[in-house]
Amino acid sequence: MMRRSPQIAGIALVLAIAAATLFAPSDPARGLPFQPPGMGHPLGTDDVGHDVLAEVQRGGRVSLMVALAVSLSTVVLGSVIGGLAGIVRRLDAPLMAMVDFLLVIPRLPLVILVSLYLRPGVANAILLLSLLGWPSVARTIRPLVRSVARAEFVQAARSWGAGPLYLLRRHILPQCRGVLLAQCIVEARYGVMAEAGLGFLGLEEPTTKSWGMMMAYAFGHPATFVSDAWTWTVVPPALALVSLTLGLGLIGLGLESRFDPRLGQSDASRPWNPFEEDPA
Amino acid sequence: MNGQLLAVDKLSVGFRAGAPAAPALDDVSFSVARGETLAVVGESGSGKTSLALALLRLLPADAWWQGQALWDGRDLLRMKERDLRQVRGGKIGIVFQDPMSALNPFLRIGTQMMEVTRRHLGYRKREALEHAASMLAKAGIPDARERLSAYPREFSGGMRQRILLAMALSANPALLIADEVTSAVDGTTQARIVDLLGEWQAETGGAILLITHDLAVAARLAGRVMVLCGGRVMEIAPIDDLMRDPGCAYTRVLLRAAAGAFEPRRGKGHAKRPLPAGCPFAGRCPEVEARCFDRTPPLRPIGESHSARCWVE
Amino acid sequence: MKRYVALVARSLALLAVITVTNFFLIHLVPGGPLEVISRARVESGAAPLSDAERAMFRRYYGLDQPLPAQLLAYAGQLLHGDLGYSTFFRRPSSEIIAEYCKRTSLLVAAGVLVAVCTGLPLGIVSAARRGSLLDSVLLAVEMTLHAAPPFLLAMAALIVFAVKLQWFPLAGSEAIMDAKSAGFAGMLRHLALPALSLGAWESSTVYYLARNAMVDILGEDYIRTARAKGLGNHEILIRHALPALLPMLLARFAVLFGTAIGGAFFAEQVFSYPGLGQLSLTAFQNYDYLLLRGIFLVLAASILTAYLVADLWLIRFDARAGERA
Repeated sequence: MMRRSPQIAGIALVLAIAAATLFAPSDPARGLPFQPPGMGHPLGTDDVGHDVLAEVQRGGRVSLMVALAVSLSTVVLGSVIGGLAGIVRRLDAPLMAMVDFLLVIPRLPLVILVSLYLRPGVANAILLLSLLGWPSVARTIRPLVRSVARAEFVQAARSWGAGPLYLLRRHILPQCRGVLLAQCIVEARYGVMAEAGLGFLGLEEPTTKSWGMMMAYAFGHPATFVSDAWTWTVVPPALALVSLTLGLGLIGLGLESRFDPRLGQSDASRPWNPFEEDPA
Repeated sequence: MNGQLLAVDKLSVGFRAGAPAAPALDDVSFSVARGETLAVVGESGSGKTSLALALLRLLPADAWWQGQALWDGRDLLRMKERDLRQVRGGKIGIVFQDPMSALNPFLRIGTQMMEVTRRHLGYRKREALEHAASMLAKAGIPDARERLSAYPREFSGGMRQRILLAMALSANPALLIADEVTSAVDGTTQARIVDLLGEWQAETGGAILLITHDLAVAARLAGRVMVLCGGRVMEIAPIDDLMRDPGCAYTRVLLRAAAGAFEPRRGKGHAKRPLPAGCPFAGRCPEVEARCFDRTPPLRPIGESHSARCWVE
Repeated sequence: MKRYVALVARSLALLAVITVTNFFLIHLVPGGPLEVISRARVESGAAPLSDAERAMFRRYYGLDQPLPAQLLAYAGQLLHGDLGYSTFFRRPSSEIIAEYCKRTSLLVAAGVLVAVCTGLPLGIVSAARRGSLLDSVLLAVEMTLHAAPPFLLAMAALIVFAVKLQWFPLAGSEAIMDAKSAGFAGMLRHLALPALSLGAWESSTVYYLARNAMVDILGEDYIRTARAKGLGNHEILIRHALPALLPMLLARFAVLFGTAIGGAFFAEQVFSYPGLGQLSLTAFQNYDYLLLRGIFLVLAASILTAYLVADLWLIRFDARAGERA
C-alpha cells in the first residue's frame, strides 16, 4: 500500500484539479481590479477585475486539454513510427536515423522560437509540442516492439498475411500498454509545463486564458510587486500549475518503475530514473 | 590451522537476489600454506569467483557472507576497511578473468601499475616506474619501458592479462589469487601465463590460490586441489592422490572430461532455487544412486589429507 | 580523420538547412508579414501602411523578387554579416543582436557554471553513496527542482530575494543598459538572481547526468581492479572515476547548452533581464520579423556550434577509449 501511495496521491490531485475546472462559472463576476481576497471573490481580483478563482478554474481547462491532447497525439505518433521501425526491418534504419536526428534538437527552445513566428493558439501549440515529442516515444517503444514481435502469436498472425499496422494495433502495442501509459503521463506533464511556459512568455493568443497568461499579465503590471497584489494574482495560478505537474509526476513515478522498458534489469543494477523525460 | 598463510573456515556467501537456501558458497573451509599452490576447480556457477571476491571483500553490495578467513591471525572478513586496504594489493594480489575490461581505458598502464608500489611499498614516482618496467619485462611484454606510456587499448587480450598479472604481483604479495586467468586467452598465451606463475613462485616463494575449471592447468601448478560443485566442497586432496584415486563421483567425471573423454552435461549456473536436499551433482551424475537425492553426503576424510563428499565408494 | 570531415560536412549542411528554413519562416506568418503589420497598425489606431511604406517593407523582406533570387540575396547578406534591418529599432539587426547577445551569453555561461558547480559534485556524491539517506535526499531535491517549470523557480527567487528581502534589484532594464556606469558590481547584482535561478534549474540535469554516468562507471571492472589494488575510495573517485566521467559529460555539454537557452528565455522574462529572450519578445510584440529572423539564426547557429563542439569532442574521446564507445 505504501508503495502505491504516490500514485494515489497523484491521481487524487489531478482529479481534484479536473473537478475544480468543471465547476468554473461561465460568466465570472467582474469587480474592481486588485481586490484582495474577500467577500464575493475568494481569491481576489486580477488587474482587470476578473475573479481570480474563476480564472484559475478556466485556466485549468486549458492545461488539462493540452495535457490530454499532447499526450495522446505524441504517444500515438511515436508508437506508430517506433512500432513500424521495430517490425519492418527495412524501415528501421531510416526511421531511427530521423528519430536520432530529431532527438538532438532541444525541444523547448525550438518551440519558443517557432512560436515567435506562429503566434499559436492552443491548438497550434499542441501540434508543435507533439511534432517535437514523438521521437522520444518512438525510441523508447522500438526495442519493446521488437521483442514482442518475436512472440509466437505475432508470428502466427504474420503468417496469414497481417500487415504491420494491423499487427501493431491488434497484437503488439496492447502488450506495451504499461510503457505507453508511462509515456503518456510524461508527455502530458511536459505539455502542461510547455504550454504554461509559452503563456508566460506571452506567446499564446491573447484570448487564451491559461495559467501562464495569467501570470504573464500579473508580471507585466507595475503594481503587482509594489503592493501585495502578487500574493493573489501570481501565487494561485502558480500553485495550480505546481499541483498539476506534481500530480502528474507522482502518477508517473510508480508507472515508470513498474513498466521499465529496459526489461530484465534488476533493481539493484539500474539506477532509479525520475528524469526519464525531456529536461526541456 | 597454525602456520597457515590463509585459513578459511565455514565460509558461506550468498546474494540477496538469489534464494536464501541456495547460497553461492556453502560452508567452505580450506587453508593455504606459505608457498603452496591450491587449485580450486569447478564448473561455472560452482562458486569459485564468489570465493575469490569474498576473500578480499569485493563482493557486490547485495551480497552477504558468513564464516571466517584468517590471514596472519586476522579475519579478513571482519577487518576494518582501512586495514583491509593494506592487504589488498600489498599482501594478497588478485587477477580476474576478463582482461579486456579490467584496466582503466582512460589511464596509461604505467600510471595504473605505479599505484600499487607507491601505495604499498612507498616507492616514489621514478622508482615505481622502474619497478613497473621490470615487472612488465618479466611478464614478457617487449619494450616494457616505452610501453608504460601506452593505453590499454593498444594491447591484445593476452598481453593485458599479463599486464594485470604483473600489476598484481608488483608489491610482492605473499598470496596471489588467480581467478580463471587462463580462460579468456588463447592456448599459447595460456601456457605462457602458467609459466609466469611458476616462475614467480620459484623466485619469490609466494602462494597461489589458482581458480580454474581446467584440470590440466591445475595439474601443472597445483600441489593440492579443492573441487567445488554448487557452492560446496566436494573433494579436497593433494593433486596426485586426487588424480590417482578420486573419492568423489564428480571428480571422476571432471577427470574423464579433462582427459577429453567427454563433456560433462551442462549444469545450471547459479542456483536460483534452493538446491534439493542431496548431492549437488546428483542430477547429472553417471554413478548416481537413490540416496544421493535424499541426503547430502558429508565431507569425510578418506585418506591422508584427502577428504571427499560422496555416497558412492 | 575521416570522421572529423564527415562531422564538419554534416554541420555545414545543417547550417545551410537552418539558413534556408529561417529564410522561409517569414512566410509562415499567417497572412504574410505585410498584412499582419498593416492590421496591427490599424488595431492600434494608427493609419494603415501607406504605399510608400509598403514598398519599403517589400524591399526589406525582398518580396518583390523571385524566390531563388531572394534566397541568394539573403545568403549573400549573411556572408557579409548583415542580419537584416530592424523595423522597430530602425537600426541594423546585427548591431542590436550583438548588444543583447553579449548579455545572454553572460547569463547562459553563468547559469551553466552554477549548474555544473552544484550538480556535478552532488551527482558524484550521490553515486558514490548510492542507496544511502543522503542519496535519497539529494535525489528528491533535484527531482523537485527538475519538476518545477523553469519560470516558477525564477519567480520564487524573485519573490523571496527581490521583493521580500530586497537583496537584489527587481527589474534590470535601465540599470544594466548602462552597465558601464553601474560598474562590474552593478552588473553582477543584476546577473545574480537570473543566473542562480537558471543554474538551479539546470543543475538537476547535470546532477542526473553525473549521477547516472558515475553509477555506471563505478560498476565497471576497472574500478573493481582499483579496489583490489588497495586504493582508497577518494583515490578511486578522483584518479579512476573522474577521468572516465569528464569526457562523458563534456560530450553531453551540448544538451546543457540547448536547454540553458530555453531556460534563459524564462529567466530573462521574470527578471526583465535585457537579453536575446527579451529582445525576441519585443520583436514579436512589434511584428519586427526581420529582427526575429536574425535572432533565430543566431540562436540556431550557436546551438549547432555547441553540438558540433560536443561531437568533435566525442570523436576524440572515442579514440581515447578505444573499443569502449
